[in-house]
Amino acid sequence: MFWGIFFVSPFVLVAAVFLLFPIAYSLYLSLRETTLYTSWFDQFGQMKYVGFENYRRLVTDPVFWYSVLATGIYALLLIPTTVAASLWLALMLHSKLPGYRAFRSAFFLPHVFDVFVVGIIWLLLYNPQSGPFAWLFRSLGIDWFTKNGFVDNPISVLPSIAFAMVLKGMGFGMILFLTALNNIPESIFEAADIDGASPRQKLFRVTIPLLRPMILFQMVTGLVGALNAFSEFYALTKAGGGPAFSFFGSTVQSARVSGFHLFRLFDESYYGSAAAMSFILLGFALIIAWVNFRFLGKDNTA
Amino acid sequence: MATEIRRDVRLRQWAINYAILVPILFVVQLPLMWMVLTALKAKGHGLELRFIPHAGEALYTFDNFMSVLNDPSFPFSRFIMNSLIVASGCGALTVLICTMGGYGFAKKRFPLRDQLFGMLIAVMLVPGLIFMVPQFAITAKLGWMNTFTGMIVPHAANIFGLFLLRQHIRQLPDSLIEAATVDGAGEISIFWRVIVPLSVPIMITLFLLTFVGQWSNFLWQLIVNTPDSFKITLPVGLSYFKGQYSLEWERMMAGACFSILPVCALLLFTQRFFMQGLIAGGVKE
Amino acid sequence: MRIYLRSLSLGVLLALASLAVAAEEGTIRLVLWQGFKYSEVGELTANVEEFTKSWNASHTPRIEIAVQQVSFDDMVKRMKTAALAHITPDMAFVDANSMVSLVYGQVARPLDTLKNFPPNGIEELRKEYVPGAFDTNVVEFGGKKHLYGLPAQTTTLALFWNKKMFRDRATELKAAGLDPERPPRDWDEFIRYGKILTQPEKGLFAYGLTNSLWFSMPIMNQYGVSLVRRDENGVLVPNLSNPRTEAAVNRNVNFFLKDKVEAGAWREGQLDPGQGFLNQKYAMILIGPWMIENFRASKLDFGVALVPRVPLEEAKRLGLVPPDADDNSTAAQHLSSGNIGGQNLMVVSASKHPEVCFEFARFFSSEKVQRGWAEKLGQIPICVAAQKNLDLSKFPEVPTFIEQVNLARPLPPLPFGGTLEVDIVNPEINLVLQGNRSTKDALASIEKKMAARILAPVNEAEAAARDSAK
Repeated sequence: MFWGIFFVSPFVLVAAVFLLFPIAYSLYLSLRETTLYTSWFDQFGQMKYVGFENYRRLVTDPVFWYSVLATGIYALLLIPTTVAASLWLALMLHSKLPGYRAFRSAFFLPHVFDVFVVGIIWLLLYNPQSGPFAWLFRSLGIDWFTKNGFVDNPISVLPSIAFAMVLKGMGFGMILFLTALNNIPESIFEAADIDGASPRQKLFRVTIPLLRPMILFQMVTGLVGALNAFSEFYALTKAGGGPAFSFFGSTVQSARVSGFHLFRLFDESYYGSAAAMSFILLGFALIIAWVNFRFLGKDNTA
Repeated sequence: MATEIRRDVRLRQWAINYAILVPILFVVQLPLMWMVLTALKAKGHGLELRFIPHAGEALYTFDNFMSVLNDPSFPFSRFIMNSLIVASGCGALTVLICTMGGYGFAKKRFPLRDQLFGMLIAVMLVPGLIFMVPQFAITAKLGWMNTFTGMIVPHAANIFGLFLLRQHIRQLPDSLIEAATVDGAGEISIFWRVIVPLSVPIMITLFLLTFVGQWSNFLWQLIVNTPDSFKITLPVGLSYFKGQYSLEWERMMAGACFSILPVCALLLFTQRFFMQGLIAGGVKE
Repeated sequence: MRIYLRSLSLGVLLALASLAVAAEEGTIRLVLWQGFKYSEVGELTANVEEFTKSWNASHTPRIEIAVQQVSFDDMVKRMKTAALAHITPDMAFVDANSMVSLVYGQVARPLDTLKNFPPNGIEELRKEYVPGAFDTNVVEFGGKKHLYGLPAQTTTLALFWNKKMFRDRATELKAAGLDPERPPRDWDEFIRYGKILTQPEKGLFAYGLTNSLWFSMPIMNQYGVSLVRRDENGVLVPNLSNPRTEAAVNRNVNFFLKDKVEAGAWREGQLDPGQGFLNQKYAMILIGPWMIENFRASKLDFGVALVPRVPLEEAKRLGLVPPDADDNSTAAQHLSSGNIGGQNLMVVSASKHPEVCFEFARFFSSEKVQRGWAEKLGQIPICVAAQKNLDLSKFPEVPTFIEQVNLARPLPPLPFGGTLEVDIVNPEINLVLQGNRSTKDALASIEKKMAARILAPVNEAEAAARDSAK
């Protein structure tokens, strides 16, 4: 028992000070709010106790609910696409295609780029008149994007941002899948060959079921990523939150996902509301993660 | 004959794969290419949407890179040095405590072990922004402003890393540990002699992932350094640089190239190691 | 540059050395945060040296000012975290539009209570400076009005026009009775020029609009809009449901919606006005002097003019000018207006030597220093005396900006400025620009949110302050 505690204590100590304590402290802050006269020299000490007012205000605010909905849409656009694209890339580059190492590195590279820098460039690429994507669609006979833009209208703004992020993130997913693929013994595929399985059957009956834990893992980390997603929205909407539209009678910004909404609260020093919002989001995340484990994890998870 | 046909099939398959992969790769690399080309453009041309010079026009130049390197008020070499210390320091500390913790959670028994682990996993789902202000307050209270410690320690408890290592160590056979115990090895030497050598690939992977993450951790490194700090890292230095040259796109992009190229180089050099590390270790369930 | 190198990269060594010296001789060390552009830092360092030298010649204990670089955009955030950790500087150059939040956060120190504040009071001091820029420093907090900083650098928007794009359409402009050698003077004329300059099939447009509260302030000011007013009980109420505000907003959005002379530059994915002007896609934009250097580097043939006025007839209809006013009257001149940006020099409330800091602020905004900044760097002098007899041969645009800034007015001094602009106003106007909401509805919606989220807390706090005063 001593040694168990000995080995985990460095991690637990750092986590307790820098992760668990901040969470507990935020729980306390979520019942308070910064006031107009809160001095910056004592921001936390001078917050006023408001009870559950922060929570009440959030759950009655359509802008908050839209941010949750937008995050959900974004996660649905982003996560399955990233997982599918990564898996496909991994399968392509698992076989010994000449130059596969260079390909793997090249696809992984964008993962390390700073979104704030790359975002500015994405905006130029998404330009409705002069950008290459609009040109591509025009040459296919579709001029909807030339008229309405990619990130300029509430309909295509989330898919456009998700697309950029899929391209950025799929290399990382690919690497994770490659590791999992390498752990599948060759003999299983050989057995399938002997049974006369077609490549398609092999993929759906053998490979994908064996990769299920990795798929689940990527889904959950993808969810964490989507909940925290902020910089890509900041960069690709020029810090504004995207084109506005009317959502049940209130004006909302279409790319104002929960991460962005949280950032705005935080940036304007509404620390109490920001903390309360984080806990509501945590609740959602726990439910979704639990459902995920329940239906995708089944027997062979930890 | 048969082998020739098979080679034919294989060649055709390769050709098809290339035909699909290369255009996608082109799109994936588009932002990088755009960035590098902008960084190479002559002053004032950065925003222009053309890449082919008119006849006799000098559209491209290395001046931006040279002026960034020779800019006396932005000692990029020092920024890079500081970033290297922070990123690798954080990587090393993360790997150490995650491996120890992973071992403890995977192979040792103590009260509330699984509850504690479950709780840590749930922390992964907490929106990250919430940590920042309390972490800052704690760091300031500890007197860690303007120190490498203040930039490294608060981010060392990487739960994702703990999870990776715990999963990996869990599937190492208990018999290895038992054999070492029979040979009279102490707990610490079991950890160093048995667990660590078997976990090296995944440790390297975690190190590189942490390194890459901390290399671009702008916001934290900004707020724990006062403006006169000697320990300003590359992303922070770059943000001052951007503040100065926000309208000079060419120079800004040249600066941005400096932030990306070291990581690219690191990845390319460690590529084999890195990929193999991941592939040999892997996230196994 | 060399001087800057020394002061910055050896800053810590100097600081340590000075600490040692301070312990022995009692030197006062002051920390100054600045977010100036690279080209400006050298001049600032020279000013600081000059001030230190002359101060030390006649005062003991000696002082020393450490200039520290913070990027302009991060200044407020840095101040907030520094305050939390109790490591604030003594003084800082801060965004003129962030003064209110700095005052409410109790980071800025009132200057009019200092021993060495001029005896004639704030009103007398105001006469020395560009009024709009000075006014951003006067903030009411806790029921009391104080001066919290001095203007240090000012900017405003003016009309930039691309001379080449005008010349390219010279025949057509002349045919319509317009002079291709000059920019439009009022908004009606602006639209007549605009219709000819706009050629959508070639991707060319007369105008690129930025949709943000700050960027629309010139038009708002022209139409005499004030976002808030006090009602008969002295309570702050929104003031947007009136014909003037509606006319101002309509003027702004109709460039795109009705007149079709605007490129859609307000959209997220379009070239923003600066980019579009640089690439000769937009013939006219409203932008500040900070872009001149870039446009010059790109060898654009451009001119700078006053923001076009409200057409005289419309102004008379809205009661902005007396019915008998003509084009050259003073009232009509105010039909062109700018907005206020730039930086103020504030003294941090935790500083132990606010008097010296104030002296430095006075020095920095003095005629001599401001003249140097104008003649060497093409800046708008903040000090009225420095605006006369300037040698601006290198900066032909500056006189226009000086004229414009003297007609400018700042945003109202309200807290939560970021919420007002980013979360409340910009999205509503964006919706109007998309053609999905009427101006009237948008203004009503802005009023409602403004009252709840910005004015209610202010009114509450003011009422509490009044009660405690009784």
